[in-house]
Amino acid sequence: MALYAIHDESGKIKQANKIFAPTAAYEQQLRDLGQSFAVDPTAMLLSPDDWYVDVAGGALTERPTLPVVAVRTKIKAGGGDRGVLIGVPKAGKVTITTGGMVLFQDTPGATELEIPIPVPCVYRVAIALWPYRTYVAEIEAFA
Amino acid sequence: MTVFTFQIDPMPALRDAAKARVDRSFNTEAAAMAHQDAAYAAKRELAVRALTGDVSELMAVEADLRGVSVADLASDILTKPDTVAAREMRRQAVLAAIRNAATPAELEQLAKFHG
Repeated sequence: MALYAIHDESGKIKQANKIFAPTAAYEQQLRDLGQSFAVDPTAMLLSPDDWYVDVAGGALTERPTLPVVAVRTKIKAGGGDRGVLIGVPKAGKVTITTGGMVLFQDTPGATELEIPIPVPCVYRVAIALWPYRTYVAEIEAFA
Repeated sequence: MTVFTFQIDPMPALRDAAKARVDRSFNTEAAAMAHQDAAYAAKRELAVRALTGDVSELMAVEADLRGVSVADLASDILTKPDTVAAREMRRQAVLAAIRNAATPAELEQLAKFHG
């Protein structure tokens, strides 16, 4: 039995198949289809949110955690109060949503994010930088 | 350390989302009432014509089925609201409330009842 993690050029896992009787023919079939893959005889099915393939080493690897810290997540709506995240990687892509609507998606290029909220609601702030796990924090603004 | 301060007003995006939900809801309602809306609109036209003396077969048959005069049937039909216009008025009232909503909670409340 072996786990076949099929990945793209960055190591992002697109598909993970647990094969009970792996054969050379199966691997050749993957190669013929132009797929890149890593094989692990011990791993169970795993989430691409938490794992990736280290392309250089060809091994399944746990995605590291971003060193972001949310130091202020409950604020007063309006005025000068701000949610604060520190330790943000400058290359991190920041996505802010509320009620399922995307309010911001870009790379601010800063290590500290200050987030005022003008009306009472909750912002979901996601910071993505491959191969790190996406960091997510919620900032709540109360009346 | 470099600091980035966001300046985001979430209300325009949330208003757009609320409007889309409300429009979907009204469209669903209108689709479910398609036959009735069309029939009512046609009958309103026939009722106006009947009151000027141009009595269609449909008006005559329905009046007979109901056991009333064509004039009474036509008057009765014209007392009823135009369902399509009434629905559009309701939609416009909800859209105005969405424009005037000041907080996400107010929008959520509107969408809960109309979305």
